[in-house]
Amino acid sequence: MAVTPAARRAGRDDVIARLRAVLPAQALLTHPDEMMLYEYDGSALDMALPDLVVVPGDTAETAAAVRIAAEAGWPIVARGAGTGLSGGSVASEGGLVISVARLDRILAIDPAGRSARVQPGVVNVELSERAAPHGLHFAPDPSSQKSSTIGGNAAENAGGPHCLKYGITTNHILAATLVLSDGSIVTLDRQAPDAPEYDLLGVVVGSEGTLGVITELVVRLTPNPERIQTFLAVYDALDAAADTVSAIIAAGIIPAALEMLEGDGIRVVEESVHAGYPIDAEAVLLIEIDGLHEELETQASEIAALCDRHGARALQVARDEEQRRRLWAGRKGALAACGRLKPHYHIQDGVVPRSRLSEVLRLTRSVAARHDLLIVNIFHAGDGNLHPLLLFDVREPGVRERAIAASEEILRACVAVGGTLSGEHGIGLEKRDYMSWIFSDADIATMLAVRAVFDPRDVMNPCKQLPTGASCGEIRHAAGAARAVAAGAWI
Amino acid sequence: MELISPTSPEELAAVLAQASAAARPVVPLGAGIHQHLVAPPPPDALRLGTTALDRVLEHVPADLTLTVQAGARLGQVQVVLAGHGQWLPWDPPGGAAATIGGLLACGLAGPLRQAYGTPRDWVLGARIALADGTLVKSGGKVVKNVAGYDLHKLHIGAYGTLGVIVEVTFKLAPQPAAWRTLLAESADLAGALEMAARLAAPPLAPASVVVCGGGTHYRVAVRFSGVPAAVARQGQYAAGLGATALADAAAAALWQSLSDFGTPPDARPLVRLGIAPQQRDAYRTAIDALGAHDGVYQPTIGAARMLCADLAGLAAARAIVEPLGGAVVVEHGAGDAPRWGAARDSARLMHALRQRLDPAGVLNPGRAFVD
Ligand SMILES: Cc1cc2nc3c(=O)[nH]c(=O)nc-3n(C[C@H](O)[C@H](O)[C@H](O)COP(=O)(O)OP(=O)(O)OC[C@H]3O[C@@H](n4cnc5c(N)ncnc54)[C@H](O)[C@@H]3O)c2cc1C
Repeated sequence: MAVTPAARRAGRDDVIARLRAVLPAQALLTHPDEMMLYEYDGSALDMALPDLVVVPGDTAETAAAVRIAAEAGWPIVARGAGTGLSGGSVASEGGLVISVARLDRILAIDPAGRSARVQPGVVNVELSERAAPHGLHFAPDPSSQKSSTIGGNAAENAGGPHCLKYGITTNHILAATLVLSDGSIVTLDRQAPDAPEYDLLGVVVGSEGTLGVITELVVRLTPNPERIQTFLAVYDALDAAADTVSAIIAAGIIPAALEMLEGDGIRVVEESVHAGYPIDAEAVLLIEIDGLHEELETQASEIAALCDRHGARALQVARDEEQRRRLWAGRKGALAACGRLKPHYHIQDGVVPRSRLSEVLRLTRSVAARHDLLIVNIFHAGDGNLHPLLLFDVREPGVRERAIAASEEILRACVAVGGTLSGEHGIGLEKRDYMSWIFSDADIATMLAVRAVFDPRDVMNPCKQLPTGASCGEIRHAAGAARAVAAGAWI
Repeated sequence: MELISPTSPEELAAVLAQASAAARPVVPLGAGIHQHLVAPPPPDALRLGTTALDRVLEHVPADLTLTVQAGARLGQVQVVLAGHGQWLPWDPPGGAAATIGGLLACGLAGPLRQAYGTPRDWVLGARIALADGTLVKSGGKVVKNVAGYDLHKLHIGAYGTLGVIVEVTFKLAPQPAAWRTLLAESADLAGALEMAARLAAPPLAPASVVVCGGGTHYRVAVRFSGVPAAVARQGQYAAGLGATALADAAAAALWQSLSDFGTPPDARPLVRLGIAPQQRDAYRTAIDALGAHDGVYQPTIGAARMLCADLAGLAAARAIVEPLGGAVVVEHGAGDAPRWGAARDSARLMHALRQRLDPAGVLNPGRAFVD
């Protein structure tokens, strides 16, 4: 059990002295100004200052720091790039933040084995860039890929547009080295098939830093497709676009990516990015297919027929790489562009069965109207992963509360149609107390029992992901309720 | 041995609760097709049958999702799915008659794993009866979900030592429109493995590449799936590499026999090997060391299942693969030989996990990697 804040303050000098003995000077941050850089993540949740921050340079330094903090009863919070959207890397209970900023090397790329050995602080897109000469890439492509780390992707089991066809992060992690809360180091290695081992790796991926600190990973690299084709389908009605998505899946076609933008989002995206989206459209679908030439031809004609049958006004195909890049730039620039509509945002991440898209999208519109909010949906339609973006200006009195209420109402609707709380952004702090909407006490108790196997002291990112009933602080929404829209960000 | 076949998950869980309280060993039992794998059950064990839990609970063709009870037989489920042009791209040994729960528990997969992966990639969630009689679930029914730990993954390949799977939700795939199988031959293993590597390299993207045989006669089987034109082009390319096309009926029979290799068992030890696929030399030398009579090899996966004359080469094979993170497991006919090989790095965690989830140690004692 973690000690009280007062006990941490009292023991801080001692912990500092012990950390100094095992870490190089630049790996320990103690100054209050430095702590402030680690106060928040990408979510709309309250900020919290860690007591100390360490930036270890290898697994052994990480293990030494973990052991010292755990022995002092301090919470230990691993931190990647801090782009998480559910509060996972916020030190809500204080304690030690372990930044992976110095664990940022690609250790090896094995083209024959189609894998790479990396440290957790490697930025997602850097790996794909380095693998490109071998005709390979790292398939998980969260929209934060220019800044989020592979360790953070693994911890959150991140998704992205192309995860529709290629699977989310868990399908691409082959091995992980983990520092446990007793300072021991364990390697969970599934590179060899059929090993006599419980699939602990499958539990660690997506565990949001609650089971240990990942200090090294082996990830799968995916061959680049023979050919790629990208379409923009344009609609005058939201339902028609949603029905097209459901119809494509129901026809057994799994595109590489199937994304939707709707409503005011299209207009502002077009104004800021000039992606080539018609500004009077109610919804657009960005459909990408890849694979062998012949597969593409068949899929393209099937998709065209389905778009047509479900009332697409137009279907354009990207003529060349430049036009494809622009179509994607619109999707990727969407969040930043929405900053033109309102200065603050809150993103929801519920998932629904793909056959239920249009009814839930319609519901988000009525929720928006009822709460007098602007909601734009820009999301991974192909896997039913909604991202209603609630836009507002916090200076407006009462708007923060309305946004939170609206967001919760949408999430409840996702669960009611058989969906789930989060498709990719994680539970963290934000949705911890919603877990009982979909899991029984026994389900959660079993998850906690597994957590205790890894972390009997309950110091690894405590109070995150699972409601414990223990002495966790209340979840507070940041005074701003939402982050201001950052330049270049997309969801 | 006493057999109980509950007709509801609750009833099954209640049986487990009683067994735990009485510290009586329990052997979860599906169709019984793979009961010979890893350690025969203790004679006083209670056999807990799942075959009465065989319903398809929910198939939503438009969502490509399926929820079934664990006692449903894979072959029967495939028939239901085929009616909608869908399938589970999963062809494990004994798959026609074996139950889904049993196949998952044994972690079995077949030649299709080349292109389609293993059930780990297709299971979206599961309901489990724990040893103490609690029914719990993890995951869900939608294709993307990061709420909570993926605990269902723990039960795949755990031989029923952490709980009894009672219900599973899968993501489904559309059935490919066309198939084509080709065969090549080789007098030695090295030549066959070389051929398999070429048949799996771009521009080819086969559904399966398998080497089979032993001694001085090996065959390399490759099949392509997908749209007809793509399958035809790949078939031509593979023919250019020296493979010969096989007629559909013969191909179906061949793949069935490759899937079912070693099932049912004979008197010879059945050994499985797994090593990271890039460790090609170690893969070949370990197989040589085992002196296999006959086997089904998936070199591009790093997997093999073999029937061996004896286990004289077991230690030598392990000495080759274990330092590289691989393992050689004697699935059947181990006699006095150590079944699992060297302890994995995670042994301590695995042991703690087993203790936590089955404190009385009643679930399939002797089949846990760490007992
Ligand atoms: C604009 C924007 C767009 C986004 N788009 C997507 C998207 O498309 N798909 C998606 O899935 N997510 C998306 N996200 C969310 C976020 O980027 C992902 O969750 C990402 O994986 C987090 O990586 P990070 O390095 O920033 O991790 P952090 O935010 O630093 O940490 C996230 C969690 O992982 C844990 N963690 C980090 N590193 C380690 C480690 N080495 N060992 C153990 N635990 C660790 C932390 O404790 C925390 O719980 C987006 C975020 C933003 C701001």
